[in-house]
Amino acid sequence: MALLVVESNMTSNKKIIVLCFLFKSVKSNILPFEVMERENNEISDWQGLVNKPVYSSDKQEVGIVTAIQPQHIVVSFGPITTDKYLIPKSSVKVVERGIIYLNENTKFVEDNYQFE
Amino acid sequence: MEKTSINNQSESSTSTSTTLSSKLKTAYETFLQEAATLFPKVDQKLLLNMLQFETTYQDWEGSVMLKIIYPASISDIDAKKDWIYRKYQRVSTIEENRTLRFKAIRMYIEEIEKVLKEDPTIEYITGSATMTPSDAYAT
Repeated sequence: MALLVVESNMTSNKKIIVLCFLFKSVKSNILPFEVMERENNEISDWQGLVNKPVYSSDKQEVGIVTAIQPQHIVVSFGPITTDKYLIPKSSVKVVERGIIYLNENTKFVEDNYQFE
Repeated sequence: MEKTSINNQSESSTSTSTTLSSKLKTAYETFLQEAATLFPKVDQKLLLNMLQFETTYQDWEGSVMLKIIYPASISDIDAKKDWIYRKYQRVSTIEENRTLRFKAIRMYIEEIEKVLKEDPTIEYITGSATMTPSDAYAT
């Protein structure tokens, strides 16, 4: 992409500006995932998980994160009669490519975390 | 010379406003952290809404649709329902065998604090605050 935009007849100043702009736009798309993903359950930006999908350990979709609370994340599933889950932050195993994986399987999640 | 002076003034004004806005943001973030530390079991959105109504409208009646969530392992949710009835004269509905939902009035932050102190088994409190008391049977 940079090769298409940076033409050979451009002055060096122009090239620098174009490259800076491209770097900034690419960085802004990648950074949210970089910030969120940490090993050993160390997530620095919990608010960045809002609207991200949540999967159980057996790879079933639990829902979408709707709110971050001091001790829990709130996950909702379904468009009309929404099922809501109150999931302890300690249950988050890992965040990979914007998907949150839990330590527990679907049955455990439905039996223990659903509250509405 | 004049131009330089104007530019300097403009720069100084921008930097002042940036300082002011960053001060305000820092204060707000500190406030949010404080709210989360003091009321970790309460939905922060509900808490802030109640705080806003309480502080803005002196005559706010404390109209809150409250959901009290107990751990999934709770065995005596009916006893909790009775406790709510004795305390607030409201019949709550039980959802998912762990959530009590009822419409309360005069439910201020102080009252939430009391509820949490009286029953430490509560896992989480959520719901929504409204400006005026609405139909008792509406959701």
